[in-house]
Amino acid sequence: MENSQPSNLDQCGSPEHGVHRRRFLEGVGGGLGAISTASWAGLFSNPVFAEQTKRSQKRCILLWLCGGPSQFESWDPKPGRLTGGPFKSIPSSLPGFHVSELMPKCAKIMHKLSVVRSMKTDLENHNTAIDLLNRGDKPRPPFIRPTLGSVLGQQLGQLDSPIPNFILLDPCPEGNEFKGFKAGNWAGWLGAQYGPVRLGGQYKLPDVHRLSDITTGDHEERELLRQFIGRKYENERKSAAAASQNAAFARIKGLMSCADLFDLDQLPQKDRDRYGPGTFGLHTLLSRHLVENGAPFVMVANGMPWDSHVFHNEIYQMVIPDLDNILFQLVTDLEDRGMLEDTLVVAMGEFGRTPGINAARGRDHYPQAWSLMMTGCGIKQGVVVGETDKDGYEVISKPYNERNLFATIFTALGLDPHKQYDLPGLPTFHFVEKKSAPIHELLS
Amino acid sequence: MSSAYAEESRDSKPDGMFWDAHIRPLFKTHCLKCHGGVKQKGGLDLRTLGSTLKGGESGPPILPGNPEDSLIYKVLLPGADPHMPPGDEKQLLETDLSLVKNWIGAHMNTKAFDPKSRTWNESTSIAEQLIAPLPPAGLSGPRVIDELIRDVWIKKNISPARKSPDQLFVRRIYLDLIGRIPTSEERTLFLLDNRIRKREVLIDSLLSHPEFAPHMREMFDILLLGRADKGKQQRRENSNWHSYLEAVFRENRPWNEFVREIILAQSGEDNNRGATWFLYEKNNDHQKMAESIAPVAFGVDVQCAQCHDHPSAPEIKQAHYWGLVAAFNRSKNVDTKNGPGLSESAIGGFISYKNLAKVSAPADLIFLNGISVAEKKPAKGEKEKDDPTKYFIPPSQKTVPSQPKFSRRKTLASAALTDNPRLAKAFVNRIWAMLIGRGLVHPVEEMSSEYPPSHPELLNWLALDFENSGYDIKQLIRHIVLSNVYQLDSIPSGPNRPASNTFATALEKPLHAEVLYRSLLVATKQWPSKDNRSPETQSLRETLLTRFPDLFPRQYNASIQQAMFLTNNAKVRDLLQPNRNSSSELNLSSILLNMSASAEKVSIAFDNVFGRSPSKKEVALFKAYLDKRRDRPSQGIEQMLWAMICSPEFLINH
Repeated sequence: MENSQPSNLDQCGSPEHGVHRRRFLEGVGGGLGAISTASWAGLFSNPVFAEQTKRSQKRCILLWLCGGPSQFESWDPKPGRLTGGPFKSIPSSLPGFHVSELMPKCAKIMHKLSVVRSMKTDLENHNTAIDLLNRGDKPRPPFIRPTLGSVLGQQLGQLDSPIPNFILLDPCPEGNEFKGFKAGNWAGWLGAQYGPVRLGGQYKLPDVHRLSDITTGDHEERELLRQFIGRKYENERKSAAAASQNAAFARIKGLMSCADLFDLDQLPQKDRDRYGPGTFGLHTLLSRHLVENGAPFVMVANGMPWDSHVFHNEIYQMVIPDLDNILFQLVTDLEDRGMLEDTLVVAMGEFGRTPGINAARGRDHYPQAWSLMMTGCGIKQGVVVGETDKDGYEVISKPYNERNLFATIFTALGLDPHKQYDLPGLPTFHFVEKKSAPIHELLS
Repeated sequence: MSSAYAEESRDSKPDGMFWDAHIRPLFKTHCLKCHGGVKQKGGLDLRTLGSTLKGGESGPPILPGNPEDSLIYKVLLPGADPHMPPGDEKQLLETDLSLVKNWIGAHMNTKAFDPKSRTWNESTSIAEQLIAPLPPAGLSGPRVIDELIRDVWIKKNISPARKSPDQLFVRRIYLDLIGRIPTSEERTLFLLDNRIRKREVLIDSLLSHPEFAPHMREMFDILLLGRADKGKQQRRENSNWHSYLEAVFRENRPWNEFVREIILAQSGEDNNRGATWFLYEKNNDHQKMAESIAPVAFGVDVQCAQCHDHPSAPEIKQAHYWGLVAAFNRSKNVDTKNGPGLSESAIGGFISYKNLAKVSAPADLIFLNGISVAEKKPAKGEKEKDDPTKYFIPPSQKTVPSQPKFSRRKTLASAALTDNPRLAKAFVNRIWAMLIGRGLVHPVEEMSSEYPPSHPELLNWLALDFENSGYDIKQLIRHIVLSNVYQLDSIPSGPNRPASNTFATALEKPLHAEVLYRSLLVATKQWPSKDNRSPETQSLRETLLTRFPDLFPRQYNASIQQAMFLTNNAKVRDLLQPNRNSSSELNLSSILLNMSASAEKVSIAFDNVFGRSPSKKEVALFKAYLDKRRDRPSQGIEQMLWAMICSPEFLINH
């Protein structure tokens, strides 16, 4: 057991981003203690508070298309070319811009979306590329850079807020390309308290509901007993381990108070039908619901088979229409609720797929030229950035890499992308290194 | 062999001490990005004292005794031109600058420097050896540990914690050696024992306890192969890996033999069937094989040397990574009638790797202890011929894995087992960390110049003693747990907790899933019981494994999801409720329910869960709670027990 205390991050956190939430908490009858039995969701349905919160808080939903989605069947079709595959392209609501025919719904709202067709990175193995696109830079051992979710959770959220600052919705906790990365260290040098709270495949946060035969009174009383012996132990031994356990138990009440937010069954069947029935869609719906109720960062790590080394066309014929619908529903919902301008939505994977079709009728990993979609908070709508050659082999204008992407995300959310991490014992590191510029075409 | 040990303790000489304590960490933070393993701008490498003194293109950066004229100090000063660290890099604090000044001014061996030629006399400075005096021969293992740890307390003026009371010791030793807390009967037996050497007697009985080997197997399974899902666990079971690993600890087989067996991976011999699984599970991924053998054989994590030399530990080269890969890249999984095995080819496997500058080099059989083995390589364009005469067992035999006369795996095994102090050090450090709560080298699998040991003499002594004992695992454990250092109290002697690397207070070890599972059953008086294998308890175990997956994390942090699990999970709650089944023995909750006096209930609960009596205050508080809950006595007991099993005193081995 390391004796050191968790790093003090106040100096790094940017207080102005969180102030309104803290004030909000203080404003409710003497702080958190007084609201234990009320549902957090209920509080937000109070129109006055809800409006204030909605207005000022910036949030981010990352739709993580793990495995490497193909640009050809989505944002950068090459109809008629050998590399383009059998699918045609269709015009969109953005004049002159065509998307794959598998995306008719997004085509209709294309003027609200923005696309980068010129992503160019240089790692083509899942593990290293997933790491790269989640952290925004290559590793420099022994230091571990926090993932996007950890940094944004810290910057946009409050450490003591009842709703977690970094929520990871992950349909298959085991399995797929993502497995190795998931087991790793998400929060890096920020410290484990900035890691994600994860939901498995059941659309519910496990163990978040009070057992029916225990009353809230019982629960509070036993926690007082626990605190008494827990604090005594912590003080006698100056124990950092006990401090972290006591802190975790102290946060439970808050999280339990917003348990319903994590329960998909609480959402109207009509909504579930619009997004579902797949896990990716339902998790996306849940992410909308969570940000709507104060979560600053939600990552939907889908389990769709984007990694199509075999039977690419057959697979994409199924998965792209699904993605098309989900993006359409999410963006439309956010806009209807007046939340799009404060909510950044990013849909991307760790790389794209090869122009060439392999012997197994699949497409392989391709980091040299790929596409992603962004919209919402701080992003101009209906912008298409960059271009690939006619067969999609190379980026021929405006190549952007992971650093440019991260700089864009930070800037869009009102954060200084070149801000330095100021933590004891940490060498010079910035949110984004080398003063890499954001993708300025995208920024509003 | 003695030279190998001396070589590694170089940094313990006076020059090295200041360097290790103050300057190296400073440079690592501020300078190694450009002057380390990945880049050496201006030819300057600041990773070691030696390379720093040597300097780069601008000449020797240090004039001993004269910081003001030393280049390295001058460029660090504010306003210097050129100035380091450059531009908007994080700057050194004033206190850092004075450390550097102090180092150059007062902590350098001036005799070794020739001011005229401005060069270092290698023989008298850097290579100068100062071998720490070893403890007097004949001192027993535990006393050597105590002496060498106490040396640092004296030097640093630290007063250690008192000796642990018996009730604390018995809990700790049960948790460490057999992976659960003692039952109240086991504890009472020990507490009532009046013999002077009762701790020693208990230690010996636990080392041959039937639960010792399974507990060690559980931990080493995870350390060696990682946690696995149910399916993979089943395959490890079926391949005899588990039973093999368990036998190593039960029969106290020499550790070096074990390492040899998992590298050779020869199936067939009954005794070590299962040894093959270590490599077989990597599924022909030779890099994974290399990465997982490195910590065992050499005590280091080599993963970051895949693409370049280690950024901050200069002795770990990219060549070592690829040397390990080459040791395995003629191997292939085969299934034989004796179970899984690995064949090896006599030809092929001549690969090369590129560094960041895209310069390519052949992967030769070069290992981290400096041993390298030359191979005859085929000429350019020459095609090697596979030939049965090159084999003891040729590849055509379908039932037995092929074995070439020149085996790369054998080469690695012999390199790992001969003239390799790292093998013993890695294991000694691992066991020390397991029992004490922090490695002598910390983090445990980073045994490199980057992380010098806190007590180099002790690490050397333990490793030598381990070698001399024939890699006797139980003797090593016995020495450590018999030491006074292991047996200290976890409450510090003063108002502050001494730094963990002084070992002056027993360190805390949060219970990992398997240990927590068994201890929950013991604490609630449901151990041992037939119900242990019932679907309900098994499912509790499975859930615990997913909620508490960390085994010896670098930095412990309790998660809110763990707290929620203990709070709201019905399987945990079930443990705290009275027996449903009247035929089974009474559990703790039932026993307490049948008692009348509240104070007595509190006392029995504390005894079972914490292994101690409650304080007056605790009795008062808990009694008041139980009395208040008279309306629902069973609930009262359940909530009281919940508060106890969810408190750090239970969740941590301290």
